Parts: sequence; C-alpha cells; structure tokens
Amino acid sequence: MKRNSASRAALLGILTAEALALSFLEGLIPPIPGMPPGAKPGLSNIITMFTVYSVGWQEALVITVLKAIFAALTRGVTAGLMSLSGGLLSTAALILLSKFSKDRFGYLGISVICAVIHNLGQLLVSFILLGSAAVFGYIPFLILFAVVTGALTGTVLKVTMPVLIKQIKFSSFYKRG
Amino acid sequence: MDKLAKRSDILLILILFMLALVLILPRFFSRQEPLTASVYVDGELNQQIDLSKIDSTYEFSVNNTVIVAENNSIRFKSSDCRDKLCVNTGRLTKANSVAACLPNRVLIALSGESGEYDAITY
Repeated sequence: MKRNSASRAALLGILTAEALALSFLEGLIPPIPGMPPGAKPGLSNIITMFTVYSVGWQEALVITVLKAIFAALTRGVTAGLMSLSGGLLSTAALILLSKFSKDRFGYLGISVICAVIHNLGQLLVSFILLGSAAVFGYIPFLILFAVVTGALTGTVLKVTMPVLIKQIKFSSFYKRG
Repeated sequence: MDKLAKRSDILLILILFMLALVLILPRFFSRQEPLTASVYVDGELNQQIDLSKIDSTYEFSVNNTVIVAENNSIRFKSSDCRDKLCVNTGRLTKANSVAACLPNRVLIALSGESGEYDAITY
C-alpha cells in the first residue's frame, strides 16, 4: 500500500472513530463521589499513544484536534476547550517522549506522564476561565487521579497492542515502535 | 516501550504518589473553622459568607447558578449549564476545597479563616 492520501484518510478515520467511541463510552460512566468533578479515565488516550508510537506524530495531532471538535459539538464549548488544552499538551509530551527518551519508560510510565499533563492542561483552562488561583488547590488530587487512570490506560494499551497493530500492519504507515 | 513496567515507571509512580500525599495530608490538619465561602464570578469576588454564622439555609442565585449555603457547608443547587459538574461536586465542607461551574464562570472557594466581613452582597 502506498502512503497516498486515500489510505491516510482511511487510517485516520479508523483511529479517530476509535478515539471518539472510547470518549463516548467513558462519558456514560456516572460521576464518582469523592473524585475530582469531571474526572474521567481518559481511555481515548490509548489511541493517541498507539498512534504516536506506531503511526506518526502528525496523525496523533490530527486525532487530538478532531476529538476536541467532537467534544465541543456534543458537550459544549467549555468541554471542547478542556479537551483541546489537555489533549494538545499531553500529545506534545508523548511526541517528545517518543523522540527523545524512547526507552526510558514503559507503557505505565508514559501513560501516567500523559495523564498528569492532560489534567494540568485542563486545570490551566479552568484557571483562565474562572480567573482564580483557587483551582490550583486541585493539583494534588489530579496527580493522584492521573496515576490511577494512567496506570489503567497503560495496562489496557499493553493488552490491546497486538489487536491495534493488526489493523495497520499491512499499511505503509506502520513503524515498529 | 515494549515492557508494561520498567524500574523507572515504578519509581515515577511512587514519586507522584508521595508528592500527592504530601500535598493532601496537611489539609486534614489545617484549621477548619470558622469556614468562609468566597463566591467569584469571572474572577471577581461576588460575595463572601461566614458559614459558621448561618443557622438555616441561605439560597441565592449568581450568574445562572443557584447556590445554597448552610451551617458550615455550601453547594451548587442547580445550574443552567450542560454538564452539571458544579452540582455533582456536591457539598463543600472543608477548607481549601473548591467547586466551580466553568460555563457560567462561577467559583466557590472555602477558606479556614473568617473573612473581613460577615457578608458582602452586590
């Protein structure tokens, strides 16, 4: 298969659909008492991580932006901004990790770092929207929550990796991460 | 990243976990009373309520949200926003806790010292 625009569009479509489906699914989870408000497991990060490491960083950025547009359309402007800020920052971190310290961390470490940065990016948006530094009081809870969700998504990525690889294995986009 | 967990992963998780604990623990020992609730709209202080001085319930509406203050607690009762994260945050009862409605830009922050005034209303 050539790296042409049609196969690129098809592959991006599949990966984006998977990311959106995961976002939608975790939206169905009812709010958990005692957890930071709006805290979600970040399952779609599985697709972003897979894309950065096995397809390419440009594709991962496209998926991140499309995900934010989807959030804005289905859950409102605030949710879209939260998704964009958290998504772009954590994808940027992923890209830097994949380029400069490929072998330092395993699945767990990478997804925990992404989860922490994702949460901090969202906190930044709430700081800008609310104009009060009081929101930074959430930082310790967000770190704690990110460690748990990051460990969860990292484990799921490790388990589902063979299946994810299968769908792109025969395309020219596949690079051995 | 072919392995699930490397030594550096475990170390990273432990460091983050400890950092969060070190930041969270002091809150349980901080002075809790008298609790003061500060309500901000668009980053501006809208009102400040001494929650220890409230006997019954004090309900008021700010920027499309309804807030209920009770003795030593405060919560968003309702809001016209889509996600209702502010209402789902529930009752705030501890110093340094916050609840916010981002679409309406309303923030409630609790502090452990009494404010300068019993109540400021605009």
